[in-house]
Amino acid sequence: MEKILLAYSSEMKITTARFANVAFSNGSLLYGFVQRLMKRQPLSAPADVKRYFVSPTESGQLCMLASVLGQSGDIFFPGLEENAMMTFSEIAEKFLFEMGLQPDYCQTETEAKEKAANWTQHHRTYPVYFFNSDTSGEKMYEEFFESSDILDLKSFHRLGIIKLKDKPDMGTLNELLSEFRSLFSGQASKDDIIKLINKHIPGFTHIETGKNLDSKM
Amino acid sequence: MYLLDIPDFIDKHITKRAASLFEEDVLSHEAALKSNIRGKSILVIGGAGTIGSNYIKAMLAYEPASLVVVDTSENELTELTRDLRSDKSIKVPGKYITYPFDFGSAVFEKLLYSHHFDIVACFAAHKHVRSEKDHLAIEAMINNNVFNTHKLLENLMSNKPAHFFSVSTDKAANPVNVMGASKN
Repeated sequence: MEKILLAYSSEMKITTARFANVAFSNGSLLYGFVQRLMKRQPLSAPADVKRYFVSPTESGQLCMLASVLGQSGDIFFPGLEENAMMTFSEIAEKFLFEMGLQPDYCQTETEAKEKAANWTQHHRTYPVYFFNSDTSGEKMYEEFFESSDILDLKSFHRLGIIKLKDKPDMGTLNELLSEFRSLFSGQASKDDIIKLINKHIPGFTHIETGKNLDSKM
Repeated sequence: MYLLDIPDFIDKHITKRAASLFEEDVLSHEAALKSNIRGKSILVIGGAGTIGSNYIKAMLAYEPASLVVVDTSENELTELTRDLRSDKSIKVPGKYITYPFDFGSAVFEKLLYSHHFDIVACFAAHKHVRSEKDHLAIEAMINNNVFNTHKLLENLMSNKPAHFFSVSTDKAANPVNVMGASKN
């Protein structure tokens, strides 16, 4: 998608932004904590995945600044310190502490679900299930730019910008799109699609573990 | 157990910042923000989600003349309107319209051809890494993140906005998942 935006950046003024996690955003794991609690269900979170977070308000401001003040081809990213990263399990614990509850660490999903089913307002603990991430496509850390990118870290106080280096060629882009179109016109397997992505993003290393988040609680 | 104030919890325990990270950047660019937004027409695609709706709230402070919001979730659009109309610090423009449709649809093209927008911002994306479980899920993701974005730009070529913005992800840097690759 970024490549398409950049290819059109000489046609109109186009900017984009790379993001950290937005805390409690719709559909996110933290948002899910609120839903779990309202349904008296356990909290479940990976203990080993570290993420950067911005608040919902910050996410809106970042996009506003990028959309209005950027130059065509700019990719904005938030200027966050590496030590600002947090694990989801850490947040789950704090989430419970703030409500006057202690986490009750469960060893399995089943144990956590049973304890949640028996939970009442009088309990001082709440069942949690923390695990180490083993699903496909998860990075253990986050990064906003690649080592070869040209960065502008001066124009804004807490925003970095990746400057446009090589504008993707429109012809190459159209070829890529038509290759995907023809692949999708038949019965393509997951492997076929990954291979085609690999052809166009040479550094693409898909972390496939055979497991997906949808099989988890 | 007591109820949690989520914005307060975020400031205290997650971002650990009392003020927005971008407060200084916003304040030092007030004049440019005002001159680019005040009186302008804005289209926000995928505007009912968290980033889209917070983008809208940030922009409305500078008093655009009109705001059109497109989102596939009719429920979330309804909630967006309640949210905007229930906040004393938010001024909803006189012309405010929400449409529950997909930005890859034919009816969306009608909207584009019948209006001129000064600012177009797109937040309509598949963002979950879990949405790449198999070939069908991946095709839907690439259709949305790649093909619909391409079609949108093509459709804007004859009616260019002054500013076009589309949201990406940190996962586009050295991608390890199809979601990140689709945003690359």
